[in-house]
Amino acid sequence: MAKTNFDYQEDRTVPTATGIMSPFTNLKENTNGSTGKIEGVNTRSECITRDHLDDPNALGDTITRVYTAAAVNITTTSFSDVLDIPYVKTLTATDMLRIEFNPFATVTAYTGGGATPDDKGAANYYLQIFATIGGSDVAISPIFGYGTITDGRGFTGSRSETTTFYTRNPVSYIYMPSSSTSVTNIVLKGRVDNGTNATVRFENRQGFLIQPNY
Amino acid sequence: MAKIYTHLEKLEKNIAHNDGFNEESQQIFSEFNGQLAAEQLPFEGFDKVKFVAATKVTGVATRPDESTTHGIGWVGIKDSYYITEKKVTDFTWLRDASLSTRILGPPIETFTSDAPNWTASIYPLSLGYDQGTFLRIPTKEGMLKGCATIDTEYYGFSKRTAGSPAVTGNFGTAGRVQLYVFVNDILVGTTGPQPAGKRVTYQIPFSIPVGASEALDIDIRASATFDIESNIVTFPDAAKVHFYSAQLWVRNQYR
Repeated sequence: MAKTNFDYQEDRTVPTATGIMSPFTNLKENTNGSTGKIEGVNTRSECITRDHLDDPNALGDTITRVYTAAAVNITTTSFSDVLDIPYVKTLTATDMLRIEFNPFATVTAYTGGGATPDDKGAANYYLQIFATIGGSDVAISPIFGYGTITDGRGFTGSRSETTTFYTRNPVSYIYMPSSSTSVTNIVLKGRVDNGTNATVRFENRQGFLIQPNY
Repeated sequence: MAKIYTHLEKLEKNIAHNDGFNEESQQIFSEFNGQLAAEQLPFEGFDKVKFVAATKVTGVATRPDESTTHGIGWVGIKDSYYITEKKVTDFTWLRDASLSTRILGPPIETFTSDAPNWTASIYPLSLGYDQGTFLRIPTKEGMLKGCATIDTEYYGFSKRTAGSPAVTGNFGTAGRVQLYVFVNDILVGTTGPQPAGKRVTYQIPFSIPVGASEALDIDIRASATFDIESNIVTFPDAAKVHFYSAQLWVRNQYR
């Protein structure tokens, strides 16, 4: 606490050098940054305004946006990239990263011969958010599932028939690493149930990262 | 205004007087001891490191009875974030014996008309989820924004092959599922009634002003209706709603 005091100089006494200097010595020692600092108790309520921030207009949040119009096809049962946001940063234990993806799923297709696809057993695709940590992609969010079909009971077409639909798949997450973590990428990945015949195409892929600095 | 100026005249012969010293010093120190104002603080002088660091919070209640506390939070100087999540991670579930492909599962909760195990009302998912669908957090006066995300699957039933009229559509015309987000039992977001929607992950954003509170409850609830009649062919699945991974995050912005 940086509150300091001064010795009141009594009337009818001769001010001494020590008496006069002591309060200023107190003031110096309470504000020199080592033995004392200006603390919250020294300041008025509501004394800090937006103009005191080093970036008064933007509030200093680190905002990263990625938009890619080109399509990417997800065709396997292992998670592969839907959208990669390069983000090279060491997130400390007190940092937080708000993540949002918004890919546009446009086409699902079943190809190849054979009977009607198994619509209840292998008709889904999934999205999950990963962070690249030390060169490896580590899953951070839950896995969320989506149907490749448009009607209620399942995919009704035969193989080689393409089902076209248009849907945004928004995915958001709040990443709070429990310890200091160096990341290089935040990646949305997808996979399908049917790795032989199913394709899900994503276009107009959008991603947002927001790291607050205040 | 807290600017300090020397306001006494210079004294003759440069002799200090007690009154002069006291008057000057008293004002300076009284200002320093609690009255430093915006004028004394440098404009554009405060960046992230000058502010009190954000703190992490663990053990946030994820069930109304606080029997589970898996939520975590991040409390900054202008806002706070809290999140809880329930992860279904294994692709090892065989939905039924007739199938060969193992998919993500099993679900955390299932609502079925064949063997009703839910009450016929809006159902708090936290009854079945130990995390991911409920948060109890402290708030400051400001706005609460957030997003509930839940992975659902609802094929419904298919065709009424007899009766009048015979329904040949292949969607759940007689069944609906609806998801809700409540804040202190006030409905702040919903999907609206959804027909049989296959596998769908719903995101429900919500926003509501909040006051200062030690404990604000946010939870995801669901309801479903099944109007089962005779001559129903259940294809590809009986009338069930499956719930898989769930996630709930909120942001309390107070500055």
